[in-house]
Amino acid sequence: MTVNLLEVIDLHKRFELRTPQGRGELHAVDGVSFSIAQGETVGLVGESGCGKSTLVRLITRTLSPSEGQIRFLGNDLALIDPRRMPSHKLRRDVQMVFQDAHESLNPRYTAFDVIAEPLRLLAGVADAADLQARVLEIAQMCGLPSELLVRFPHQLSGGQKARVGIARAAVLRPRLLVLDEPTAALDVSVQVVILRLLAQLKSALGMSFLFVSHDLNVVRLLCDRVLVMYLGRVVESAPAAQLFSDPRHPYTRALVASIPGASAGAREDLIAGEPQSPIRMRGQPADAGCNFRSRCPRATAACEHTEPVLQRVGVQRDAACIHLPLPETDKSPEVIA
Amino acid sequence: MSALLRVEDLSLQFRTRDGLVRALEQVSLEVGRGETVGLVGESGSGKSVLSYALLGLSDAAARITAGSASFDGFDLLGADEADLRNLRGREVAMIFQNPKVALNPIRKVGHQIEDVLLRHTTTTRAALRERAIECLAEMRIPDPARRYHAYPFELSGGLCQRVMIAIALACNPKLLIADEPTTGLDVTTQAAIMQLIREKSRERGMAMLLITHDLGLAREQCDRMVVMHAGHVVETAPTDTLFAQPLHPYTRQLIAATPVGRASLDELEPIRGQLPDLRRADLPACRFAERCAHRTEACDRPLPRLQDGHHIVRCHRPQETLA
Repeated sequence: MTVNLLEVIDLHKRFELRTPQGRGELHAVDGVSFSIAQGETVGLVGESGCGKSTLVRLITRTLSPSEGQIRFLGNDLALIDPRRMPSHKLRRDVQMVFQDAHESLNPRYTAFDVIAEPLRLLAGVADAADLQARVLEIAQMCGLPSELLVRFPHQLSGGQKARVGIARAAVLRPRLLVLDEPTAALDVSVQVVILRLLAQLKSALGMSFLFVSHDLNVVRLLCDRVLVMYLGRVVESAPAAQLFSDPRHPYTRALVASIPGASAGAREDLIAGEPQSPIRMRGQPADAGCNFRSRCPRATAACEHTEPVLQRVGVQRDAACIHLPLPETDKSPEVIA
Repeated sequence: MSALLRVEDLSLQFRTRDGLVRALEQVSLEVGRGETVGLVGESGSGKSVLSYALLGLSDAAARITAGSASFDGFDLLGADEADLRNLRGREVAMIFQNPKVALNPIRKVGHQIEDVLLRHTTTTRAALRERAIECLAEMRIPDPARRYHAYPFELSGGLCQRVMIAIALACNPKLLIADEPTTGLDVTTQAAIMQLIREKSRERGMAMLLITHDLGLAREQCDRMVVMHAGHVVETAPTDTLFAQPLHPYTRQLIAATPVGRASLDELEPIRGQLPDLRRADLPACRFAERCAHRTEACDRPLPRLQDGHHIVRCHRPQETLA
């Protein structure tokens, strides 16, 4: 039995809104539960606006959840005061690689300073020789030649900046590395190098990854398991290979069919339109149905008043759709007896 | 059959503070009537510079030093601004990478469509609004009469791109230049937008030049592909041929680096090095030579242009370098 490093339980994040029509709440993350095992790479996919980034910000505690637990190494991250989080001891074990490698580097810091900062702030490394040695070691692991370390971000190429961002996150040897679209801005030629680097670092340092991306081809190659989000909820969770070869939830089927080069037979799974609004005005009744039904090719009358829950639909596979058949696991022991 | 768009040996330079940037050199390509051609390559390879130059939209620092470009028999490079204005939007339309930035942020999208209709068609003022709403409806924008009054910030990225396409297709152009039309959009939206563009171009017999760095997308959409590297066109071939039998080492590397259809990360191969600095005075004849594993002394000679039917490659040893 594998040990869970991170366990997210019924996590909610609601943003209060004031609009000309009155007050309301935006449900960015709406009851998400999942876990990441030791050494596992979990992919998180979904359209823009589905709550991926909010979920990431909750896990890295740059935002406070409205409800729910984030169990990590025996602690509940959700209870930590966000003002204390930047210097909290658990910050060392949850690190993040940001989407835009250029924007996320301080333009007045050299590459060396960028990588050394977490060591100074969180690991209390004050000795200059020690600092130097540790920065050089991680830089080398990330494929950054030492002569580049004196440069400022604008003097580095896109791929080199991505490496600096990764080195900064990995220098503390965190248990969990959260990667928010780390290759989105890179050309394919550089993308391959960065993906390989991530795979190497993972096995060398024994980290777990939460890999957020909307490039499904990349997710398929890098991840062990994939979570699919739609409008603040996880609608499917499955081992990566199976998710792509045999998607179950209608939304996942649409995602897979949308990958350029998908088989022509998958065309019928494509969906049109836009997601419904995640905003609920005050005083309005909660919607009891499935929030994907307006775009779903298989929607029926039952979808309007039954809220689908994430349940087991196969070995290591969960999906939230009332039309999916459940596996008949309970009956088999009797048959054998 | 004569080509709709024909570019021959086009060279373009930018004057900058750090010297001349030779952004395009001896670029040749053709787009036939109704044909969809993909223009692929890494960022900085000159794909967008080429498309801007064709429409006379180049930066003031750009200078075309050699070559010719014609559209339907009309000389694009020698034309004066008034003629180009008549051409752009009516005969050749362009859609841009970031629809939210390309649209006018303080004008209702309906009015932006009307601007094009007024300038290029005989639609009367009275019929203008109706026609603009029709254009929105054709792009399957839900509730077009209401969206007519929307500003770009009120629409999602996918809807903005549909508005851009509505503007581009309002006058039935013969050629659509689509510069990374779906970059930054979700895959589901990308699939819907590409399906829409393809459907409209089939209906109207419109040709398309699709600029993208996504080889998977280009393979799905295009009849023919043009591969660019550092301002050179290195290979041109029908899509199936290009993927089955890539001849230029760069094309082969580009395909090997693309994750589409691979089983594991180990099957991917990175491309060595970076694009050369185009400001250098000593740029080698073959701009890929410094990244190429098969380089020989022959590569310092001027680039050949080897042609086999529709397959054109600019490399000294395309066959020999096949592993």
